[in-house]
Amino acid sequence: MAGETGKDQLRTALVVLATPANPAAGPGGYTVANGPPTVTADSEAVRKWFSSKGFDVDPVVGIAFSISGPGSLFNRTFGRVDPESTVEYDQAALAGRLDKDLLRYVAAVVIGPPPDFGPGNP
Amino acid sequence: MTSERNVIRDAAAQLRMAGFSVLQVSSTTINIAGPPTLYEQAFECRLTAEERPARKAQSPDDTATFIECPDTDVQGLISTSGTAFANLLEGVGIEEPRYYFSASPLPPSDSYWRLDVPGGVSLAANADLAHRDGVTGKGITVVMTDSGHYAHPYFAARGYRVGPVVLGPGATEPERDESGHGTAESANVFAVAPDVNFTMVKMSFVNTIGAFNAAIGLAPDVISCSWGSDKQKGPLSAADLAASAAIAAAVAARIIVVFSAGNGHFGFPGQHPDVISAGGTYVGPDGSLQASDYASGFASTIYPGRNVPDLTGLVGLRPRAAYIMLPVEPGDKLDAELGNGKPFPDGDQTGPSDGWAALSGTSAAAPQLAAAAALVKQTAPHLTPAEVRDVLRSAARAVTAGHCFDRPGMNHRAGAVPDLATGAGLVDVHRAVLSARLWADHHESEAGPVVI
Repeated sequence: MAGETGKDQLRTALVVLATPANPAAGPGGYTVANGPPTVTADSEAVRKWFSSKGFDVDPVVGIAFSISGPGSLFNRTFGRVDPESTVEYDQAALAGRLDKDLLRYVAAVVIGPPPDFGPGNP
Repeated sequence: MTSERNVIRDAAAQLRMAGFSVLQVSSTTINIAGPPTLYEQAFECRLTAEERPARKAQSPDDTATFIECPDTDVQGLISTSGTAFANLLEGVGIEEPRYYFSASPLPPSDSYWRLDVPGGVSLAANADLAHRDGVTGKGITVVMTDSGHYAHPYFAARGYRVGPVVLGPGATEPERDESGHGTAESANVFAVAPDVNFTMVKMSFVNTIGAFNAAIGLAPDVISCSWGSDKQKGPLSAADLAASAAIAAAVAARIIVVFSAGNGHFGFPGQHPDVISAGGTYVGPDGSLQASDYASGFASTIYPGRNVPDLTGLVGLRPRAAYIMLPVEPGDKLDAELGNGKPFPDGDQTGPSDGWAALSGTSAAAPQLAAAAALVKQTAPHLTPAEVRDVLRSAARAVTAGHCFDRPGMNHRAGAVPDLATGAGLVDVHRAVLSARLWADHHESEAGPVVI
């Protein structure tokens, strides 16, 4: 449900921070409430970098935060992407796009798929 | 510019003398009525009737009759120039047809078995008795992340507390719910917990986790999510890992998180170990219970030992689970899709823009369980999210008939609970509140008397 800012479509993505192996992980090795998530990243430095580029930056929750901005800003930062497409930039794909000092702190930038059920598919 | 009082008085008198009924006089206008011939005679004009396209309340493609004076260039204007009224009236404006655009707060009637909100859902979830006990969710905050919330008259007419919509990352137009899903499912919350403070976080469908994180930022008691993706096997994607961590962070902060189990999907995050996973039970016209064949039930391979669902809310049967009549934004996606003119069960037999649609799925079950959790939390504020889930499960009504969605890895028959069809069974709100009260009494006795 992306919106319009003038002719420049508002877009959003999730920035997923790199995490260490979690010794308190739950079933399947995944994070649960008994072993709260930790990040190795200097998350503030990563957030400030996106903010300096002009993105609106949300607070970190768990291991991720959201960025929003006009489509032109996304295109300048990540290359031109179809607004309707799903994209996951891993660290390799982000090389050359993010500040190289911050690259190791970012696991991925994700423009996610819509839900398989729920809104649009009750 | 305000006319002089004596000019207004003289104009009204002259209009009466001409034969008009004077309905109202203000400082700038005089409201009059009379037959068309009287207008033509008094203002020396011609009047014609024109059929023009008009959007009325219940039908988008329609026409309406407009009265026009072809002697002037301005639509609906009669000139008084050259008439006996020239010095008294600047002109005469002809009223246009007008319609109420909002939907009715009352649902339409139809001929098939289904539940209404709030009554049918409240009764089938056994919430009425809790309400009669004064447990209605007051003081508890429920946040839903979904497609938005339209200010349907249904909510205002019942006095529900709906806060301003919060926009998740990338979402726009807070007053709209283009899908209708969020508006509809929120009515399930109020059916079970009518006095909660409710906020909708409208999400961009490409950043659902961002919306969920925004919901956490509001620090509610309960977050209800009626969406998810189909994940039968790991490994989890980066976005899923982020969702998993966000849920863990929310629950660690004592926020109760409810997710739909899926409608035939191996629902994620509905299988996350920390959430209350909402499946489906169908209550028939005779009150009988059976597992909904529209709802998911499975053993997670991503989280070994995790069975889905935890318990169930009210969900219809295939093919469309058209089961609960819910308010939506008139003419939105759901309204148009389900009001397709086909008889039940392929359509819901409502209009395509009447602001009502019959639907359910585990999208309806999640807000029902979220609301039940709100009542438990109101009764026993010290309960952790895991304890609230335990209370809901222990109080659930056993469901021993039917089976869940039919697909490899599912199609489990309901039997001795807990099972993989309905988990612990159908939510029983009154029993859950009583259990929570016992827990609270026990907690207080262990901690010593509460001094007020």
